[in-house]
Parts: sequence; structure tokens; C-alpha cells
Amino acid sequence: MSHNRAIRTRSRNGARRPAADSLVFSFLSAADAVEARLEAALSPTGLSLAKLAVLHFLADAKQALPLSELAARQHCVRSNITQLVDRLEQDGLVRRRADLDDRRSVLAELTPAGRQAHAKAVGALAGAQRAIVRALEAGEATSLQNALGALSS
Amino acid sequence: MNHRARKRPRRSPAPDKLVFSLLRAAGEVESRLEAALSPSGLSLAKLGLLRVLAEANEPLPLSELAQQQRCVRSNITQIVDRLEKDGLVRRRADADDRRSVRAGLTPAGERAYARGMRALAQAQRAIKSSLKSTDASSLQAALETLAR
Repeated sequence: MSHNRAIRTRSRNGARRPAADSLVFSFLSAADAVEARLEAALSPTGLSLAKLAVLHFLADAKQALPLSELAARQHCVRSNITQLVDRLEQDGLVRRRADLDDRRSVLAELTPAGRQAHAKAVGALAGAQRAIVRALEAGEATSLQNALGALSS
Repeated sequence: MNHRARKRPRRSPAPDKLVFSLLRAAGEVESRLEAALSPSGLSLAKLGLLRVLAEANEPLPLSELAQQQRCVRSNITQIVDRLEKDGLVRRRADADDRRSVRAGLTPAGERAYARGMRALAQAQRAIKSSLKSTDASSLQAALETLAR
């Protein structure tokens, strides 16, 4: 899903950027603030945007997926996915199992607790998104939408 | 031209769509800025650090750099390592505090900083020009609201 890609392509080094005094950097700062609010909304559920993205792929796929495919969809390196899945497995939300078709490959799948956590997190995220958009006046939302359209074309 | 299709939507966009478009667009903008810097061997993180040093006009303790860049010490150490390998920054002992290390720009670092800022300004102008049909003041207001 597109929003997973959005999550994964954001850099999260938190370092201050070279110029904070222009429209372009205001834009990046706004996105950072929004991302921080989404992370904060998720944190009571024990999830992060990165963890939720993995759960989201698995929920979407409705089947176990090879780690290599998760890595490709997350646009991240294999070692990153391994760590994420490790943590999700520790939390009991994801289970690894052998791939019967390809013995060198490992599959990850949602546990019932993972499915519940996914649903709860999606709800928390939707609440935060509504609050973020509600804070904008109608004209502001329209301008933002136009700008986003222009930037992605 | 389809006039109806160009009309602005009367209703606000779906919140999830707007929020994730924002994050995706920010990711793309950041990639464009990184791409503009990469021919000069710099990244936003490296240029950010050069900027702090250039503005300070004197070598700064690594601890202060970490604080100013709002990032953890180990991160700053890595960035300074790479900048030092590129010959843009030089570490030296702090005369006042022997446990502390300061980093300062080399002459090559000063030139790289100027070149990086020019590349960045050019990339920003290109991005802004794609926004010229957007009402700038209400976009700025939206960004300020979001950043609060």
C-alpha cells in the first residue's frame, strides 16, 4: 500500500537540516512534526510506524510472506526487516515459519494477537490523522492538497 | 480541457490520504535535495553539520554539535568521521578541556559548504517553481499549523 512506502522513504535521522528558513524546509519540518504525532499516537499500542507497516503488509496479503518480499515492499535492507520481525516476534505479533516450497526462505505471518494489534493501531492512526487534518482551515487544506498534487506530478 | 475535473473539491480530502501524501511528498522532496547534493559528495546530514561549523566560525566540541543537530553522539561521531575522511573537517584536542574533542572546518570544507549551499538553493528553487500555482501564503499557514 502506498502509505507504507511513504513511511519507509522518510529519513528518520532527526538531524537538523542545513537550511530551516525556506518554504521547502518548512514543508519538511511540517512532515517531521506530523510523523512524530503519528508515532506518538501509535506508541500506547506498543507499535511504531515501521512495525505497523510490516503488520499492514501481512494483514493485506492475508498469508505468510517471505522476509525478502517484506524487505522489498518496505524499501529497506534485509537486516532492517530481520530486526523489525525479531521485535514483532518478541511481542508475539508475528511468527516465523519455514517455507515448504523453498527451504532457504523464511516466512513471516500474523498471529491472532498481531491481527488485533493491527486493527487497534489502524484505529489509533486514523484518529490522529483526523485530528491533524481538523486543525487545518479549509483554505489551508486545499492549498496543501494542491501543493502535494504539484509535488508528486 | 475538462473544466469540471479542474474544479477544487468542495469537501476536505480524506484525512489518511492527505497525511500520507504529505509524508510521501516530503520523502520525495528530501530525495531530490539529497540527489542535488550527491554530486558534491555531500548529504543533508553532512551539509547540516558543515553549516553549524561555518556559522560558529570556530571549532566546536562534538558534544555541542550533537546537541545542535539534535542527534545522538554516536551519529555525530560517524558523520564527523566521514567528513574528516573527505578532508572537510579536522578534529583537534580542546585546549581548555582535555577530555573533549573539537571539530573545525578545513579550507576544503569551507569550499564544500559554499558549493553545497548553492546546489541546495538551486534544488529548492526548482521545487518551489513547481508550486507556483499554489497560494503560497495559505500553504505556509498550513505548514505552520502542521508543525505546531
